[in-house]
Amino acid sequence: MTEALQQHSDESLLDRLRAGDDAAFAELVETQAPRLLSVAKRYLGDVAAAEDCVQEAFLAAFRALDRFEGRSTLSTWLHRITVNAALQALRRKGARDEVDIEPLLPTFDSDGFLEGRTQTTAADAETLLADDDVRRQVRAAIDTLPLGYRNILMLRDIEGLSIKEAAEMLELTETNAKVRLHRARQALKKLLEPLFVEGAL
Amino acid sequence: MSPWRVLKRRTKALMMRHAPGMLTCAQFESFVLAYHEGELDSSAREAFERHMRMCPPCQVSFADYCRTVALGQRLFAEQDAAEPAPVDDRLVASILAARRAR
Repeated sequence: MTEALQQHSDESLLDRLRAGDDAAFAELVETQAPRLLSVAKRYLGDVAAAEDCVQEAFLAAFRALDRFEGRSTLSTWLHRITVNAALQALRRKGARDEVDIEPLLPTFDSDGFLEGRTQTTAADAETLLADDDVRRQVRAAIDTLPLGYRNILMLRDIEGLSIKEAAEMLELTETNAKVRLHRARQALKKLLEPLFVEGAL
Repeated sequence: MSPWRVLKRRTKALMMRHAPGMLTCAQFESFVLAYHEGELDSSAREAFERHMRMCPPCQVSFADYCRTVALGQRLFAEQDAAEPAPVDDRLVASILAARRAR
């Protein structure tokens, strides 16, 4: 659907939602819930927690319907609310099975040289991800990052938000968000190192 | 490490520290995000690229960094492009019931 057409169908749906039309609510939930559930699962892992998150997100959206300004499509707006609900659920859940980030950051020797490999695989991301096992490894590695690092990486690299938008959502300064994002990527790179070692595939 | 390699590294370290406009690996590392985001001005970008040409570990490190970002960006691309799996009817019913109960 083109954006203009989407905006138009959003507007008529929005009018019906604001008028309290039950069928409109059913239509919204039925069309949007599947995608939102798959987004929530990326953050929360298990289906039950993701379903709770989607329900919470819809209820939050219903309460905020009057404040929806139509600057994005309804589905982008719902996506954002769902990610927020997922971040809150993660915060409530508290301690997770996390790795310590420090040992995963690069180290330099006394001469200021990076201590690292001088060879790497030529395979690009797409080629690597063609292997289901690699996909699972990448997901698992992201999941072990400490929450404060994982969230910014999820928002920037996976959801594709700008650093500024991601910082706002996480209530971080932009500078702090950049530091965290960089560390998250460095740590993830270290965790994924076996994939990059030449001849690993 | 062989004495020859130690000498080579020491010499390189001296060059890196004292050659004008040459970054150390640690400085290079601190510019990675900004370079990747396209935020460096042209002289910083040149210094970054000059270091990378001279330093194989940083070259590899940066290549792996880019690939790590790309892996994240592409991890769900297929899933996003495909039709999502249908949700349980119970979930839809429960959301609509919760709305009416408000």
